[in-house]
Amino acid sequence: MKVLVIEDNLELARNMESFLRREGYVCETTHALNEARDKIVSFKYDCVILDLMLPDGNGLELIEFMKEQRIESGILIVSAKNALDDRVRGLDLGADDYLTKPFHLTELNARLRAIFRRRNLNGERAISVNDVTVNPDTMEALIAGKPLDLTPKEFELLLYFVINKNRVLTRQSIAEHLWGDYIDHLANVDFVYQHVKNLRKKIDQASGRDYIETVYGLGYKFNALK
Amino acid sequence: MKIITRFTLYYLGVTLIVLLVGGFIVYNNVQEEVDKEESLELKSWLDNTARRIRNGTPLEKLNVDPVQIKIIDASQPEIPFSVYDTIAMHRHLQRMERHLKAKASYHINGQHYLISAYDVVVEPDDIVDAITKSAVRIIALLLLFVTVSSMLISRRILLPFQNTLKAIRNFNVRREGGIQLPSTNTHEFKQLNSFLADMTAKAQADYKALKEFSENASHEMLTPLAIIRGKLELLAETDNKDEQARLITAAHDAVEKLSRMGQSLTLLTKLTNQEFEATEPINLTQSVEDMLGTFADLIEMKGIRLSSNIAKDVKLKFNPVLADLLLTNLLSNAIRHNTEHGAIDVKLSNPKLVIRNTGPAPDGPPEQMFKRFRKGNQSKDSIGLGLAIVKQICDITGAKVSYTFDEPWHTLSVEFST
Repeated sequence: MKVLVIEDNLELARNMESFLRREGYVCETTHALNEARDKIVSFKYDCVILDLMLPDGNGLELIEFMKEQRIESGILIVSAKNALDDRVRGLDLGADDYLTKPFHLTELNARLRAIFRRRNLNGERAISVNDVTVNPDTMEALIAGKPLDLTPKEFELLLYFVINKNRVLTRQSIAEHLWGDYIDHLANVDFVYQHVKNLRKKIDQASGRDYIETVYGLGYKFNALK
Repeated sequence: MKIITRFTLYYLGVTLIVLLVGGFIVYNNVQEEVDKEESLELKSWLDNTARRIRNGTPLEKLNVDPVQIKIIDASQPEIPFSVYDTIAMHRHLQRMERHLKAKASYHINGQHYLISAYDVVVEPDDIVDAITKSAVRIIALLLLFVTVSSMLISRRILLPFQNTLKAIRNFNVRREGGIQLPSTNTHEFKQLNSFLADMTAKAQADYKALKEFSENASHEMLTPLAIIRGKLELLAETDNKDEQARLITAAHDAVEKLSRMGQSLTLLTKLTNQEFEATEPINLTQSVEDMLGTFADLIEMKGIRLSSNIAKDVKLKFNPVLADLLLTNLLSNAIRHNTEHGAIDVKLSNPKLVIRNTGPAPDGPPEQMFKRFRKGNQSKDSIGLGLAIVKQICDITGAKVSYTFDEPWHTLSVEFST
C-alpha cells in the first residue's frame, strides 16, 4: 500500500510516517500543496492523507484538483479544523473520511484500512490474524472456523485489535474508536476495561487462547503469533 | 416621563410665572392710566367751574353734586390741584365704591373759592377680575396648543433619535458589519451618532481580536499536543521497562486530558462565536432515543437503572449539531456523576427535557454548577466543562436550563423555547 502524507507540521508528518512504515505501508511525506500536486500527478498512491491548513493553500483545493485529474486515490482528511462545514465540504468534494486532530495513530490506521476495504484495493474482504477472522462486511467473526457471538461494540473492538495487531492500543484510543467524539466528555476508561474483559472471555471460551495482552498502565495489545 | 412631557411642563410653568407677573404689570398700568385720565377729567371740571364763576354764574347753580364750592379765607395762597382717592357711597348703585376726588382753589374777583369734585372710577377688583379672566383663557389656549404641537413636533424632532435607538437595539457585537445609523441635521444627535459609531466599531474590533485569540490559542495548542501524543504512542511500542512504561502512561494521560480540554474549549469558543441556525424542526424524541441507545452499554456496565418517559413526536426547531452536543453532555454527565448501581430517569415532554440521576451531593452551591472548571465533586477524569457547554448551548438557543439537588437526585431540566 502506498500512502502520501500531506502535512505541514514536520513532527506530525514524521509521527505518521514512522507509524505507517512500521505497519508496512510505503509512505511518502510532503509539506506543501504544490509539492503534493507534483507527486500526485507523477506517482500513483493508494491513499492520500491530507491536512487542510497548508502554508500555500487549503487542502480542499487538492481534492478538487484530484477530481479534475481523475486521480482515484483514497482521500483521508486530517485536520484540526473540526468545523462542521469543513468536514461536510471535504466529504462532498469526494474525500473518503475525516479525522480530527489530535488523533491516535492506531485510529488513523483503522480509518486507512477502512478506506482500502471500501475501495477494495487489496482485495481483502476479511482480515485474519492467527486463527481469528473478522469480516467487516458481514459483521462476522470466526475463531478457528467457528462463529463468535459478539455484541456490535465487541465486534468493533475486535476489528480494531486485529487491524492494529502487535500494537499498543491505549484505553483512550479504544474509547474514542468505540464511542467517537462523544468520549471527549465521558472519558471513563472503565468501560473499555469491561469491553476488553468480555471480549477476552469470549475468545478464551471459543479457542482456549488469550491473544490480548494487558500492557501495564497503557492499554492492550493483540499479539499475532509468529 | 417622556422628554417632551418634561419640556412642556417646564415651559408651561415658566409661562404661568410670566403670566402672573404680566398680570400684575397690566393691573398697575391699567390702574395708572385710568387714574390719569380721570384726574385730567376732574381737572377740566374744576377749571370749567372756576371759569363759570368768573363769568358770573351764580354759585347755587354750580354747587351741584359732584361739585362742591366753598369760599375760604382770601388771604390764604391758592391751593394747587391735587387728587386723592376715597371710598364714597355711589348714588345709583347704593354701595360703597372707590371714587377719585380732586380739589383746587382759585382767586376769582377778590374771592377765594375752594372747588372740589369727585367721580367714581373703575375698581381694582374689576381690573383684577378682567385680567384673571383673560389670563385663564390664555393659559387654556396655551395648554391646548403647546400640548398638541409638542406632540406633533416631538415626533418629528426625535425621529432620528428613535432611529438611533432602533439601530442600537439591533446591534450585535458578534455580527459582522458596523452599526447603521441614520443621518440627521440635529447637532446633538449627530454627536450621539458619531460617539455610537466609534464605540461600536471599537467594541467589535476588541471582540474580534479576543475571539481570534481564544480560537487560535486553543486551536494552535492542539497540533503540538497531537505531536506529543503520537511520540508517546510510538515510544510505548518500543521495549520498555516497567518504570518507563509508568512514566509514559502518566505523560500520556496528562496529554489526553489536555487535548480533551483544548477540544472542549475550542468548542465553547465556537459556540460563543458562531451563529447556529435552526432551519427546520428536528425530532427530539428520535434524538433522545438514539442517544440512549448509544449510551446503553455504558449505562448497563455501570449497573445503572434507566427509566424513561419519552413523549412521542416532540418536534422542535433546534440545530441538530447542538442538539446532539446537548444530549451527549447531559447524558454522559448523568452517567459519570452517578453512583454504582444508581439510577437515571429521562423525561421528555413538549418542550421540556428532564434528566435526573442519583449521585453524591455536590460540594458547592447549585448555581455555580454551570461555571467553567467548576466540578460538583472531584470525579476523576472529569474536566469540568460539560455543564458549561450545556449552559452555552441553552444560552444561544434561548432554552432555559436549571439544576437542583434533592438527596440523592440531581435534576437537570432544559426548557426549550418554542
